[in-house]
Amino acid sequence: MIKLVNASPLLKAKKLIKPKKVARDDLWTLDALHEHLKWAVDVELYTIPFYMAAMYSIKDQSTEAGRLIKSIVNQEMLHMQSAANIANAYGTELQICAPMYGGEIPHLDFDLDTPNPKDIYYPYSTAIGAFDIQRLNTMCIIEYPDWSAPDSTQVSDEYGSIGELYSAIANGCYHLRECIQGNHKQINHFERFYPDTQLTITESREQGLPQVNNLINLIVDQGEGVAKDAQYVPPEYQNRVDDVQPTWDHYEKFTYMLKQPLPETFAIEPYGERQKKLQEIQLSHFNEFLLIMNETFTTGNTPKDFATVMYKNGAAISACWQNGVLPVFSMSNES
Amino acid sequence: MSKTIFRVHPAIGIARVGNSEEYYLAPESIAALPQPGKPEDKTKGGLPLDPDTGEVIKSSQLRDQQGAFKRQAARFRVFAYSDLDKPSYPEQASEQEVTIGSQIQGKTVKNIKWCVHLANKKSAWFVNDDDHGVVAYENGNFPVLRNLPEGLDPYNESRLRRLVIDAGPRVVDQNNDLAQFDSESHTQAAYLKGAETVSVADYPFSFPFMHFDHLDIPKKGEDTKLCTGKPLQKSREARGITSLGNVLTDSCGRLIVAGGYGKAVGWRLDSKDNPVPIDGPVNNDQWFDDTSDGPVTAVIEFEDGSCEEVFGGWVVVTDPSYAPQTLNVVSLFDEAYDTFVRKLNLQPDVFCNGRFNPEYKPAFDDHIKPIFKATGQQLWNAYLPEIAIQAHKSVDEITANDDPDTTILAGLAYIRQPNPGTEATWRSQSIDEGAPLMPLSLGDSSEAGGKPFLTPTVTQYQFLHSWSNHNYVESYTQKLGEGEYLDRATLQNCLGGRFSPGIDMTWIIRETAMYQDWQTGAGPFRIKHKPLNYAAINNANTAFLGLGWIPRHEGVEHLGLEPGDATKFMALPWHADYNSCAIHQTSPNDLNSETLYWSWPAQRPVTVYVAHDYDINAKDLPAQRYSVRGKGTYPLENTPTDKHDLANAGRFWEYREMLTKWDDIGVVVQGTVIDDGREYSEHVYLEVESMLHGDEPELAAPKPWPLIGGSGTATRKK
Repeated sequence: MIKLVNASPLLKAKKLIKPKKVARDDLWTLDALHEHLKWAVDVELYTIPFYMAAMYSIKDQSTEAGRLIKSIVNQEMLHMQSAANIANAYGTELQICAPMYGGEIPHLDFDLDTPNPKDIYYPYSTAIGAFDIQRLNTMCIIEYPDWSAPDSTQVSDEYGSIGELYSAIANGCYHLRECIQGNHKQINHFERFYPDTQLTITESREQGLPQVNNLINLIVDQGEGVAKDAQYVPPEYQNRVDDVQPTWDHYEKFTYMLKQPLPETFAIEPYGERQKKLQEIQLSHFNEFLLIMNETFTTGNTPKDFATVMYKNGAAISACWQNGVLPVFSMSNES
Repeated sequence: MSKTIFRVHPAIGIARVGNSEEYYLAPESIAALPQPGKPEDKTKGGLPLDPDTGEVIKSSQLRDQQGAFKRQAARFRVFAYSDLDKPSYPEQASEQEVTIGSQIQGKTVKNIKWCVHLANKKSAWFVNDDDHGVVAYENGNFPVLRNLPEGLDPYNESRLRRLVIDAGPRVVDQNNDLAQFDSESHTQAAYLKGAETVSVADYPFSFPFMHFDHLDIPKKGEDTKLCTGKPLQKSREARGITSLGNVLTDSCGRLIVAGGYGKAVGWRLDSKDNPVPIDGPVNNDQWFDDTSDGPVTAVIEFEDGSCEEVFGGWVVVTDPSYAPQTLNVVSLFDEAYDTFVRKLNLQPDVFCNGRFNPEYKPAFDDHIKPIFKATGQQLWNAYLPEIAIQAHKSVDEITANDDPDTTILAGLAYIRQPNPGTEATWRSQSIDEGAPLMPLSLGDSSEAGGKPFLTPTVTQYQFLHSWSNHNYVESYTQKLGEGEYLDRATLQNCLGGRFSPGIDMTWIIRETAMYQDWQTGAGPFRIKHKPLNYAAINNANTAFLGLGWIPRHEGVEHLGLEPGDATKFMALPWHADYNSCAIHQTSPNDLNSETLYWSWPAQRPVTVYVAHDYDINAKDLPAQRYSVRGKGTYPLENTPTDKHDLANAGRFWEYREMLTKWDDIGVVVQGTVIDDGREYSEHVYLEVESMLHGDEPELAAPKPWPLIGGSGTATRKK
């Protein structure tokens, strides 16, 4: 395990905490909504290193797979911004920490789905790795649509899919709409890519609710889609600038890639000093990434070096793969 | 090769048109990099020089007292190389500039005679094929001929006579130090036979007014709305283009070539014909412009009566430079160097037997830093989002001492690979992938058809790859000589990569057949001169210059270039392409994307920070304005159906307007040379001396990339 001299506590991997299902509409509290919104921010962050690591393992970034996953990574960043904007509009105290990879798919209890996507997309792995079948299956599971769209008040106390959970969040946001604070710590880095929709919450209370719902719809529609038979991305949520398939949601993109030949990826090479150094550099950049994410989304202000940190993070992941070593995104909790 | 040899430098000189009789000298330093010999000077390279002092000009010297745009003259010098062992680059032999009175191997230089011949063959040549470039000339083929109504046979003598502007050759030296390339001075036509000046009294000079009765001469202030309907003017008496410039020598015996005046002239078919249409960026029939090019030769005369031949150069007269200190990421030098390294065995330790030497260590300051510096310069001419400005700044700040793995360019993750490939599909070509890959500029022709996006040259990419893998040195111990530096600086200040067709020269810079064999003593980057038999001229009415050099045509391509052969591939008139090439969709555009990208951001400013808008006490830059702005630039003004498509912003809606307003465009220069009475930071590059005025009530302020075209008019330029 790589250790950094000046690592922030944020680099200690945090297990995703699933929010407790709210059984009845009248049970929604602001604390419950905050828990749900923290989960939403965490789950959006979870996808970014996982997808980025797989993306940069592809030797030719201009392959169809490379371009499709790049378009997804970009939208996951938008989703994180969107989730954080909703969270901040409701006064959520955010802390963005390193995700924990390698265990079970932590998002939700997919066993509640019928059919269970883990049976369809097998084998899968949540460990950081190259763009391969295991990672691709995991991505399909993560973006698995909410086919049955169950009512959040049903008997189980677990959410079955991201769609179901966002549906619950929408419900909670509606019941607590009087708590919305417009222009509170809002970030907008993507407005030029999505000029036809509102990416921040500028209105308060009841007036802010349509903006909240718009962001939820954006996340769901771009991500796993609303339902199996209605997978399309509405025009205002399409990236018209540089998405090779702007009408496809993430689930459709991943399942499409699953049917195509896998792109050539970098192989892991014997671990030496160069590899160790590259991992240290990359983890150091990810440390800075977490710091800047926290600064950005807890203050609503974008630091001057935001772009540099973001791009260095990607470059370091790429450099790791090119030299045959896995990128890493957390430090041991014991260190 | 032990004898002394002599070479003209720069091997290719770049002059630029202006509508003033006055001129400044072409820059002799590289844009944005420290001036040679002045590492501490806050003013960076790329600026033209004051012909009187030799120092870089101030902003007030860009125009003359009447406000006319000064021409940029190319200055040529002769250098002697002694003790040559074997051809090498950089040159190992000792170098000395040859001037009047200097001592060369014990002999005193008495005089340097220069011969220059300028011509413009654009109207007689073929259309430029943006997507196919040189490919259109392969297998004995040609693109479509321009001006087909003037005849279908490109070799036809009378056709050439009418369509080639040819002022003939001129000789200047310290005794006869000025000559004009105008229609009144044809009796000055002369060439060098050894050191002897031979007059050609009957030289068949040719200007448009000699062959066309009804010229269409755009005039400043004309109402372009009238140009679309009724006859504009009767011009039987008007002459339009009457000069391609002039040549002179200075007191040291150096040559100065000042080119044309930025004129364009059309010809109408008869007195009742409508004004000549100009409705495309590159290939407009019935038009001439007064750019030109041609060979530069020299002979040195010594006090003892002996003389020495000199490896000659070439002068190219082209568009003005509106941002002389903005370095191109891919320059004309990068293209020429890449060609010489990979195809002409320039540096076998870099590239040999079809492959790069993986052990070769490029120098950071010579090969890597210019790319990074150019990246950091783009914000001055283009509307970048803050995130890109920050990222570019991080690139610019990389030093030779930084561990490449810690930088923003680790792994070259954001550099587009120059893989031309064999199929132009988006599935396999990084040349068709936009952001975050850089440079985010449009590409040009390739063997596979159009390249949607620009890439570094293969050699640039190889050097970046070496740097990325820690395989580089900070600096070479063997530096370029003064003459070689002039070669490089001249070309590095010009546009590379985006040759559709480009601004200064086009893809011919990549053609090995265009050059002299550098290993014979000529040195690299030297265009081969076609021997011209002036002695055979016996008729003032028969065209002397032929169709000339044809790339990829066996039997012709190795014969050398005639006057006019370098610029004939360029846009006609150049003004139209300059107007058009601001921002476009990619071509090809298989995804039907409406996203717009820059054509030539370093060479053709799209948006600029205006000095007048700049608060010297403020921390932030002012809002940008379009470089080409003012009346006539709003789409809505002239076309009710247009919906303010961004693809049309920052250019004149009617191409014709550029023919009379190109000289009103401002110039982007470093704060240190703006002499308007205020103190500017050395870190800002601002537009000065713009004379484009007019209300802009309906024009939205420039917004940063990404820019989306749309509204159905984005294909104004195909």
